[in-house]
Amino acid sequence: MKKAMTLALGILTSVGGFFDVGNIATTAQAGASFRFQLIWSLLLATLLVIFLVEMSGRFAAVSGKALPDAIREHFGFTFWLVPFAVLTLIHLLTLGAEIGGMCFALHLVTGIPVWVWAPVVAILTWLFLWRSTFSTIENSTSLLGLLTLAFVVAALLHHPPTGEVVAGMLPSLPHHDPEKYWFIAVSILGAVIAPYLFYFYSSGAVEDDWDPSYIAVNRGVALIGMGFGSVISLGAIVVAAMVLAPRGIEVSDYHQAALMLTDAFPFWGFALFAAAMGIACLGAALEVALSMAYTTAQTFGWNWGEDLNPREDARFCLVYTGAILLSALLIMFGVDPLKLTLLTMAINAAALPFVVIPFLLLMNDGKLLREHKNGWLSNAVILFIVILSFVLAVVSIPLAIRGGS
Amino acid sequence: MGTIAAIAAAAVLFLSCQQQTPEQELIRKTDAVGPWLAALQMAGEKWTVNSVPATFVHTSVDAAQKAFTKAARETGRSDARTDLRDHLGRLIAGGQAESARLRRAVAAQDRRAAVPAIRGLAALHADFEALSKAFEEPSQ
Amino acid sequence: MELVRDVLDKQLIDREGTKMGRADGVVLEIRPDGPPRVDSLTLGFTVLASRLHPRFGDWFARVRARWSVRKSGRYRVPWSVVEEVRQHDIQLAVRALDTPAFDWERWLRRHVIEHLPGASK
Repeated sequence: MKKAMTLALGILTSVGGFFDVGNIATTAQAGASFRFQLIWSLLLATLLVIFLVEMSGRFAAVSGKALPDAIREHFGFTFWLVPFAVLTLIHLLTLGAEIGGMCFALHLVTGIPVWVWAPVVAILTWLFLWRSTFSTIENSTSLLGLLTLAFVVAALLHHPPTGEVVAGMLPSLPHHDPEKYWFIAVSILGAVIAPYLFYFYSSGAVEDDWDPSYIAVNRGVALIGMGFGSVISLGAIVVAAMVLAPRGIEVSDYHQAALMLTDAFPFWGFALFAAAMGIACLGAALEVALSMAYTTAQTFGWNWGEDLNPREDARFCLVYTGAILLSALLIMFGVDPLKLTLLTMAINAAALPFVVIPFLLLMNDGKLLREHKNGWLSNAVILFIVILSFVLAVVSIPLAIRGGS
Repeated sequence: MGTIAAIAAAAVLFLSCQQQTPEQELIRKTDAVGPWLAALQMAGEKWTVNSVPATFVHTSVDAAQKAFTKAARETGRSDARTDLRDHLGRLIAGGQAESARLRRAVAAQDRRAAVPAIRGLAALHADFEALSKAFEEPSQ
Repeated sequence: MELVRDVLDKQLIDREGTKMGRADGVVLEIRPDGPPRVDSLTLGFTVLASRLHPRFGDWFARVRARWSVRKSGRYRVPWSVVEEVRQHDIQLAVRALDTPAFDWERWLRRHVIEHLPGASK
């Protein structure tokens, strides 16, 4: 039964880590500007992230350690410092984007400005972390996250042309605006292969007390969890392609994306979008804040764990509190949520080499993982990710400057 | 690694700047106008059938107006041909006027008054699309 | 036993099983009549800063002296307190709460957490 509940970790990670504000922004843009042509980018990213999540879970199950813990122990503080600094920056920016997403969802239904909601959202997120245990967060976010299935239902209701959808699953060159095309392709990769996602997953597995008997389940969870997030994202691309693209509504502001579900659901569509966006962002915010606390606490050897009472891991709680505060300030001072999201996706892509390479080295350690260390396929995939991440690192920032604004 | 990144960034920027005429540059800088016109048109339509609340139309118009102002500024600053700049200027001014009209109609809960504003936005959008296509970069 | 591989950066566990930081530094005693001996482990941000560059360590120590809760930036754990060096952590015979390693935890507990409602799950 406990193993069946591990599905909840997979779905949480997928709702919070996969389908979050970054995904909403990039899939809406992809569908609105290029219809089904960028589906291949989503599929490629999904495939790669399934491998990364599987490896992360396998590592935690076999070694009983989360990634930041193991990397510092194994490679030393000086080596770990740069990835740690990079991860911290990504955590803070992403948390800002997710908080911005929640604020925007509330703004949609009330009309009250985004920045006003920032303190409210910050306190709500903090309270959730302060009072809940890890399993409560896992289960409640997974359950609420099912709301995002609205995108899939809407996509089906629109009866998209199957031939074009399938054609979009293969890479192709754009017919117009190549800079924008490649920028969105890179952003999708950055949005899906978020560095914090597989780092968080390893800590989550330790929170859930995984042992080597969870290895088979882990494969299923990685596949189903990430697959679930991918299907939702695919739904979003299709809906944007069927609703926004024909009208020429390219997405440079979340207001434009908010119209997405109103064709398929004339009465509920608007509210559904706001709810789906709010919930996805809440799940992600919780995950990112926790991920930052896990990473920092493990780096310095502090007590950590969402199941502990705050008085037992005060510094761990201080980290997520500080992170939420800093990120909320970004939104309070009027930083545009969508621009922040797109910047963060570009940085995610650029930062991948720093966070994946230590992971690659660790996954091949025979002493830590014994017979469960990476086989040739996993190594081939992670090597591909490393090469891809270098390419992305080089092109993402220039593309963001040229193609994004 | 940093040097490679810097060179690559410079290369991409240089190459993409190279191939653009001032007209294409201006079209690119104002490309948010078309989507906003279309989005406001859709928001207005959806409001008339009760799919979206009035507050959404208000805040969408506010966001669109910001984009229109920015586009107007870019048009004023540009080196592009006068006829293009004038045409764009008229479209942007039209967009500002029609969206204000839509906002007033929605605020007054007057569905009938919203319809001409929506039609106006649709016409402006079609005009904008045609203008962009005329100056589009040839595709590879 | 290889010091860098088996001791440095390892998680320290106190006698109640609580995590109490990591071995940020190792102090060796150089003896004229024999191989060097491990004198103690050191913990603290100042130690970490020094590992990057001695100047960072000095700068950090100065900043710390003005703002910190802890009396010293370097907490020394004598080797005699080490019970066992395991594959993934080092077991110590002390209680974390009794040591300076928990200065910040104690301070936060007393001045912040006790004052916030709902601190038990």
